[in-house]
Amino acid sequence: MSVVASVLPFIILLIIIVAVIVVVLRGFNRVNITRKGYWILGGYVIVLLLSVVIYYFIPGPKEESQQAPTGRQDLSEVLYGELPVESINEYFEEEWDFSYDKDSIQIGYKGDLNNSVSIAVERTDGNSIKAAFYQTPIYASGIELTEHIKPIDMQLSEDRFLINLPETVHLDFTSFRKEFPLLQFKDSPNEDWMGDSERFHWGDQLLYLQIPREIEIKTEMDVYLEYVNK
Amino acid sequence: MSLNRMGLGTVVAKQLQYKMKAYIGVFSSLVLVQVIAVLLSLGGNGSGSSSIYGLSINSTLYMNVNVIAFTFMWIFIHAIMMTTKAERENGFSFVSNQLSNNISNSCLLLIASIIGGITTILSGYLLRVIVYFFIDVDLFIGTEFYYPPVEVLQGIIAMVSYLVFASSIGYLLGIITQLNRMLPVLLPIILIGMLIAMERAWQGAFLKIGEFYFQETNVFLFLFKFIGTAVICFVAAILLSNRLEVRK
Repeated sequence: MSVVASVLPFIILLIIIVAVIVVVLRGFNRVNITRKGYWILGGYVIVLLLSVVIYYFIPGPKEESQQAPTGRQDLSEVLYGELPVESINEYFEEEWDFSYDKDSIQIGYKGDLNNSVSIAVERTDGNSIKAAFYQTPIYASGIELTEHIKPIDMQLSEDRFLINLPETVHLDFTSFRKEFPLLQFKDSPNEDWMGDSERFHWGDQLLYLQIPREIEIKTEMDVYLEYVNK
Repeated sequence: MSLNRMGLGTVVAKQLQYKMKAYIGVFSSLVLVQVIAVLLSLGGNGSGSSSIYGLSINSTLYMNVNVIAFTFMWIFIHAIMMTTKAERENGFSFVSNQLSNNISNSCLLLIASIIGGITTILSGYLLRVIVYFFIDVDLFIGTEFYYPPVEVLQGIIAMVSYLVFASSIGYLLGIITQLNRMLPVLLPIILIGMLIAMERAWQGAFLKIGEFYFQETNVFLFLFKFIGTAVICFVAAILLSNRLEVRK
């Protein structure tokens, strides 16, 4: 079965190539001197021109792609304590503040574990637990998708601090790629056409927790913490 | 024998006029080939899925590369077919010689390339309109949906040049195969053998040739390279065709 499946595309391709050659050779038939040929070509050109007109009336993204912002968007330096959290304020999304008077806390996930988040912990001298969530923009094919991400949520019940992970959102989209002749006179024609690296810009996420030093931290399975200070 | 002396230009123009009518099938086959290619493109040229931060992205990619590939095949096959003995004989229905016949064939291929190049690039619009209205109506649309008019114009220039180039090579190969009965069989083997030998002797030579033509971003140099090579191929074909049977 797998052999048939692997050979099938080649057979289909072969059939298509043979069909194209047959069509081309038939087209070469000199008997066809009638005006029918001109009508076929003329009709096709009219359809193409109509499609050009219709295309410019389609309400859609008629502008160039949104450029993913340049500069540092990697939040790992904050995660590993190399940079202060203030340096990523522009990516701040949401914050939570819980007063807490117990000696220990257990941090766990709830929801879809596939959507876990990087967690940085800063030990503080206060008496409340603070959480701040940071998200850098996500782009796919030049479109910003950050707004489609469902936010995480925090819950504190007894001595359990739960990070509510969002359910996965499914996005289907149709993308187009410009044909290589259109990019021939760009700076790097073939690389632009073949390269896929710029199509996705995944951004970064960080949950920054500020937990008083006196509180002992325990983690549930799948929860990994990075301490930015001791 | 006619008492009228006609200049080469007049003969070529007359022949071209005749061939434009006689070979209208060439253009209707272009339409069929491109319609087939557009229909095949409607299935999408690729798809992918990625998942991160609670986003699962499935994308279907559409591009017009089928039309480009099929149009290359179309012009290449027609260029070869024009050199067959039967077609050459038909070229002498009017007052002509090898030179005028070859020049009119070259002009016809040039016209075919221009029409093929324009329709190829414009079929990108057709694909986008069909996909938008009939395929994934309410789906997210990526950014290369947008066709800047300048890029379209550049695309037409590039595509026409590719086709002129491909047709000149096809025409030259066609003439070469007419020199000897064995050549239609031997020529592909000789060509592939030469390419392999060239690649072994100078590693990366094939790539360098590709870069010489396809990495050229200056419009004038690009036209010089492609059209210049096409002219060389056509001239070589004309010179070689003089070695074919003499037609008085």
